[in-house]
Amino acid sequence: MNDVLLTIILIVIKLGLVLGTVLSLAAYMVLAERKVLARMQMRHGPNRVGPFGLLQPLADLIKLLCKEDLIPERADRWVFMLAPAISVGTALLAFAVIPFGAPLQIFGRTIELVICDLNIGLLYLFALSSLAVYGVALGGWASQSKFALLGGLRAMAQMISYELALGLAIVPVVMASKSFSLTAIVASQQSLPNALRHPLAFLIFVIAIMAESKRTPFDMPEAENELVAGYHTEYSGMRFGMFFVGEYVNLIVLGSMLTVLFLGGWHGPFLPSVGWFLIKILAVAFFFIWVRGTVPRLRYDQLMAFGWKILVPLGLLNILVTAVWLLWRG
Amino acid sequence: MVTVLFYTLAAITLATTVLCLTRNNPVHAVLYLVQALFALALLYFMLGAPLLAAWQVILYAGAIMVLFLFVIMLFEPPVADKRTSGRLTHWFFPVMLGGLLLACGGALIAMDPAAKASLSSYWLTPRDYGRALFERYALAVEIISLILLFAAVGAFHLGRRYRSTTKEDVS
Amino acid sequence: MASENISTEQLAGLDALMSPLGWDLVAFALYVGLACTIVGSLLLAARFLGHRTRSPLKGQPYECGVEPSGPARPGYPVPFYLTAIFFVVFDVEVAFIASWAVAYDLLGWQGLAQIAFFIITLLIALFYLWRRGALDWGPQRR
Repeated sequence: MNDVLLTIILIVIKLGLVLGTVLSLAAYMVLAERKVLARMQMRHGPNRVGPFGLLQPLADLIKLLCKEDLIPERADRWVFMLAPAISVGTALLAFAVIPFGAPLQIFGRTIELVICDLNIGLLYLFALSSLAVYGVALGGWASQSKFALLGGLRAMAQMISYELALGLAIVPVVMASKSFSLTAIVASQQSLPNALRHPLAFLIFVIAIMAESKRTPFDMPEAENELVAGYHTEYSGMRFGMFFVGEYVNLIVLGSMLTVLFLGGWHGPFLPSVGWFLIKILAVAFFFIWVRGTVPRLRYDQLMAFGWKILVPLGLLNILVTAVWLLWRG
Repeated sequence: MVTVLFYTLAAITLATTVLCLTRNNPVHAVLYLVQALFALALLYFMLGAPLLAAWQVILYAGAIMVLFLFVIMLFEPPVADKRTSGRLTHWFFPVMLGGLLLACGGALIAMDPAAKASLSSYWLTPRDYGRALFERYALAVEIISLILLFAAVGAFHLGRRYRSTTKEDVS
Repeated sequence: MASENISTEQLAGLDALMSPLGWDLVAFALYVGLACTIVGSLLLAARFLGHRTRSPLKGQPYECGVEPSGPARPGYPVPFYLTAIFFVVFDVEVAFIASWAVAYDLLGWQGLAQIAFFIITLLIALFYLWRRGALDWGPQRR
């Protein structure tokens, strides 16, 4: 009985750690993005709340919570309320399957540093990213506003197009590990990360997740000079905050996905495994912020054409070549 | 325990499907249908086919329902949504069904050990699934590829005829 | 994977509860519950903390400050929905490819030949659509 109790306590600790880390990391990711972007544009960024602006996320949270909560007159009320929750929920749920460290040995028992090692973990992530479309689409539809609807439609078309490329890019990873379990995928990269083994798939994946997350070179759905703010034009207060937080949680999810699938997961010399995992996530996040500070927005038709005419055929050919190569080597 | 869960999930599937059919608002109908598909996916998972459950969610909820939503968002005639009077009934069923779905998932997971053993003996791993699909149903898979080819080409031609009758418009 | 080969004996009695998959799924359910609770409570908190004033102007959809004109959903005749149809077709393809990829070594060269036929068929579809201009979103070429 003691054993059962101990296991439950361990699970609860693990859950608390994961959720706490993810949420606070998301909050500070907002600050980091503002700071880094500011530095890239020769500004200082937020520096008034607390030392170096470190309390800014807290101030933002309080502000968002106390803001007026507007629902447009003709909006579909419950879909309108549901949409932001879907948006942040699909991002948060992704962490249930992501392995963030090597198994620990404490008190003679092995603790896997993952909440749930599903044997379809990779497909679970894929499913979540395809469900994320709903948050955006429903938000745009329920607002009863032209900008929101157009933004929602654009977001849908963009997300589903790049999801295809995403699905094709993960196939070589699956072939390398012969499993959909993320733990097995990390284990298969002990000697060589998949980014080096399957560079083309890596490239496709990076571009596809950038488009999936609607970040800057691909932020047509919320392009402010055409669509005001796209699908979340009509949102305010914490509901807007949910879309916003969802975006940054998503940034961490993408960092974790990239780390787990292509950058060798928690493998690395010298440092403890969890440390390596965090470093890799933060490096990926920094890369995304950097891209945002550097690359201008694409045009919509170029974006769609790029997804369908370049990424999808390349992904398909890459699978064929990889399969031949792997079978040839035996 | 397993039987109870099975019937609960089946009941949710039926109830959400009925609700989907009786909604006036097409988007609400789609949302109920998505819930029904989730319940179905949980059923598959419970019966020991995790890969099938994953494809169920990805293909049906993630692709086909998105197509429905697309069409509804594009072509829905502008109806004034003035039916906000029955707010309680609006909330009651989705919340109750969603809660029931979550509870079932939880119960399924905390199921009694004996039942789990009998289930896990039928556990179909993704590798087995892929192997069976491409060994036993090889011909069907190739035929499906041709059907998909026809579907893509056919959809394009039907859609293009529609497009050529309207003026080129905003995108 | 440990979770993939659980025999009946291993699952008898209390040991069953300790089986890796069992506890993993408990943790998973707890996580889902916790995440939903956090999101829900944040939204509820905002409902109680935020002040509200209602006015007809605030309820209007935003259209850059001018009076909203026309219906919000005029039924855009945009070729967007074709994208969704193609997506469904190719997503099914991804499902088959991934199901093959996880067992590619068991299926060997024969499996490769099958999937190659499958992929090439759909590449033909893709190139046909490309040539006929179904993948152009900009102003139409003539």
